[in-house]
Amino acid sequence: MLNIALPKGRLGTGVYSLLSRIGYTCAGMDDPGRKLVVTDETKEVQYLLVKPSDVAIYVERGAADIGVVGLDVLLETGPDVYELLDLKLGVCRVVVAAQRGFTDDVSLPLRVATKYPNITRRYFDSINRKIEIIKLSGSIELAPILGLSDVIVDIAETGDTLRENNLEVVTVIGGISARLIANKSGYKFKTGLYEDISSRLAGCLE
Amino acid sequence: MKLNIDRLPKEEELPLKLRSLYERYGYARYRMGKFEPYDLYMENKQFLKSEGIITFTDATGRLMALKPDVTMSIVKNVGADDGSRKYYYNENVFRIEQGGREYREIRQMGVEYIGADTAYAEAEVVKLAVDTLSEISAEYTLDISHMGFISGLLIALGIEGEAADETLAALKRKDAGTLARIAGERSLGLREKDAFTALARFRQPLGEAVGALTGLALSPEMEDAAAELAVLSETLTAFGCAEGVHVDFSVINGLDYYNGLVYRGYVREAPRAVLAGGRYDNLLRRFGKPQGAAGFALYLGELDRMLYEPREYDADVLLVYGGASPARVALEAARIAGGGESVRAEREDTGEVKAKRVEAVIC
Repeated sequence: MLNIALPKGRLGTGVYSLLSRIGYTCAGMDDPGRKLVVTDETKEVQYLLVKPSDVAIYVERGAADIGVVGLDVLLETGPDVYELLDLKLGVCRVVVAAQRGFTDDVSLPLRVATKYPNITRRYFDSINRKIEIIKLSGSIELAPILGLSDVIVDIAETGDTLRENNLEVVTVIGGISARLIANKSGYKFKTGLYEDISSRLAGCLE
Repeated sequence: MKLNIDRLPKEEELPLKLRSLYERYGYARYRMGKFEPYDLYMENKQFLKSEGIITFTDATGRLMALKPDVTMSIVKNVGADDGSRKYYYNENVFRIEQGGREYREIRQMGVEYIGADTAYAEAEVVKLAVDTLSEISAEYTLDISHMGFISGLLIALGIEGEAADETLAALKRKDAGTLARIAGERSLGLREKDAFTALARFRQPLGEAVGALTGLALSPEMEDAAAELAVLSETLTAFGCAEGVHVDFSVINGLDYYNGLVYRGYVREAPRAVLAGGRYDNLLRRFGKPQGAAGFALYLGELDRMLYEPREYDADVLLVYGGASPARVALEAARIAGGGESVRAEREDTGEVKAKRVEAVIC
């Protein structure tokens, strides 16, 4: 049984359509409803529908053979997995954003609200800026508006959400997209299978 | 009382089998104390797998550590003039596991060959690693890499500093995309570019890999590494254990520790590597010793789930004694136990004890 971990939501749907193009269709996936596991006994494929940030853990611990997850999650949590392919889906950027007209007073530590403390720390270490991290789980854009932080580090696609909250991009830290990841031990014993999926998915992207 | 080896649970049987394997090749048991002065680790952080060390102050006020590592203690205690020492160990160490947040007691068995200066000695340690894996599972692989081949490649291509770190990280992830990008950013010749990107997804049985690697070598350092792997391949074949050994460059350790051959062992039943080892001369130099050294560690904790055998029965016999006299019960219990079966003597059968059969003591 091949276990594939997909993130719930738009990205997961997009990845599933690629996987079904290369033959990994699964009857229940057209309308999974609230199901978390969708199995196709004849094809021996099982889809696990999980929280995006958990996909990497499932793959790292072998509960899933392969999975798809955003580069932001990989950079933040650093799971010990193989990264076989850039699926070029879910393309966005990790940015530093602040209220329009914000000026940085370097005599004080910069207060940064984010749900990516590791990415944030690494970036500001690289430019030698002292910071104070305020770890939030959602609606990060609210923090500078309420004076909770000076800036935020978050992912942005079009930048619309930022603009709607009177924020603007100050720096782009890096580009993000969805990656195909694989369990290392699984790769050793099912190399052909994993590489086949990876190269056929790559073929779909051209 | 005679010991019944057939009834040993798998998790107890494995260390005993491995002990005889290692002793068969002349390795002696190394017994380690649990504590070590903390300065040893503080001064050698680059050789440790994790930052988390449990410390305490001893009765004299000295800062001590619960040992996070076995190899360092062994290397520290070996004399510079001591020539070669072949040890195996079965110890518990204490540290925060990679990617984890809590301190763990990690059960580790391993082999250290201090003075492994010859190609034979290094191959012997690899052979023991392969045999260790085959004792655990029928489906295993020992994946090996050579830090000399990789560092030789980086030097030949002029990749250093941050770009070198990025390259190693990408190799570790089998991230062919990032390696192609790095190659693209430099004006590399076709041959150099091929060598670079070929390593990304390289995974071949050792025998076949040697030819490919000799072809990819761009410098004497890389040729030497390929030649070492060729000799290793011949020696393992002679040992009869070359099956299940693959060359795979995603096996990378921080350059500080291992200088040549590095390897990781996997079994199909476990999602993470269960064994790690290599040639670590650099650590010996750090302690001012001239010898070479090779060894590996088996992480018994990674095998827990697969070795675990749930007990079907609490005992062979449930002896129900009701109102019988203690002396009568003692006779019956001793008879059963003397016959080689396990016995649970209880006043009544409440259904809680699962036994193969129930016997009653007749009053």
